Amino acid sequence: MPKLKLIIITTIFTVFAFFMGLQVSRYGMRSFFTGFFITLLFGLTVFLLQTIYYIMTSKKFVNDGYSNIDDYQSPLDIWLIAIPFTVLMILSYVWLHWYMVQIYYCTMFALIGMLLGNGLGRGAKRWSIRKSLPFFFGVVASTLFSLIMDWMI
Amino acid sequence: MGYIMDENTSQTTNHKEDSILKKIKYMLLFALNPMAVLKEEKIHKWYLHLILPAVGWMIFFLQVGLDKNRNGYFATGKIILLTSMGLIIGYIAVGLIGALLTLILASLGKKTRLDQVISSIALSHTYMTFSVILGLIYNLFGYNSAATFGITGLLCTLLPIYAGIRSLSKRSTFLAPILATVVGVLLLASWQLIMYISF
Repeated sequence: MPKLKLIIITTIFTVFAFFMGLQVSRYGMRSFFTGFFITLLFGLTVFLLQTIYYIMTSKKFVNDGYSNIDDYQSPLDIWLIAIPFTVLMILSYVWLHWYMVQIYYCTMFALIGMLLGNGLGRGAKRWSIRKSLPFFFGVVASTLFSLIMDWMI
Repeated sequence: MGYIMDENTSQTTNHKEDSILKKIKYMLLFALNPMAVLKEEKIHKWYLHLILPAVGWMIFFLQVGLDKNRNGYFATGKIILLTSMGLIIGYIAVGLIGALLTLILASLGKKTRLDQVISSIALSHTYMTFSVILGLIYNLFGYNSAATFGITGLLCTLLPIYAGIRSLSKRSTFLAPILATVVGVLLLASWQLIMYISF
């Protein structure tokens, strides 16, 4: 099951990268492959950093006796919220002719960062930077990608 | 005697204020956490809750109209038509999507009521409404903001819907993303319908 989820998540990033490549080459200043590879690498890096941080922090909380292992949702399950975002992005692009892949991509990072933070217990009990970090990181990733997009368009 | 009456009147006023504050607090709680509706036993006034998405959609289509008007494609009359369509179809479409989702959940053996599902989907539009209000402020400064803030709002709407379906079906990993996709596609299709009618 985790393998299937990983395949789905990787496919999602590849689909985003494909459409970003199309958008950049048609309406931007760069080639298809520049858009494709930058988007893919950026997405996979954010995914890896966020997921590894989530797993390590939740393990630490469990080891410290702060919480129970059952309190934590699988991070891959959290990333699956990207499925509707991807489908809507494709529909917007192909059907509605709204060429704004970056809005879906940036919002996805920000919202999933928030969900990962919530998964670690952000907002419950005492505030802690360790629980809120995925949320801040999601916002930073989202902002960073919009700056990259400015360079590509 | 007059003093006692004054005291009673003041107590009644305080009681009323308390009850209004409680109601506002209650409404805010559900607006920020719409899926809490699914756990409530009481019957919800879904027809009132549907006003929230209707207003959200109305503001979104007002922005679309203003963007088009700025670019010289739309006259004022068309903006009013588009905005009214957003209000009416927003109310009807979200209600119908809620009814459809209730049917799907019932066929999967999940115990939910029509009023609960419609109310929770309607209240999930709180984030979208915030987003499109922000977009309207941007729009007033001369930026074409409709699509950006509209899409962000739409994606934010899916988040509580996803969380709610997940809470109903913890064993099935893919049910929540699939149903959230269905809801998202139907919402987007309704937007397209409004544009098709108005353009």
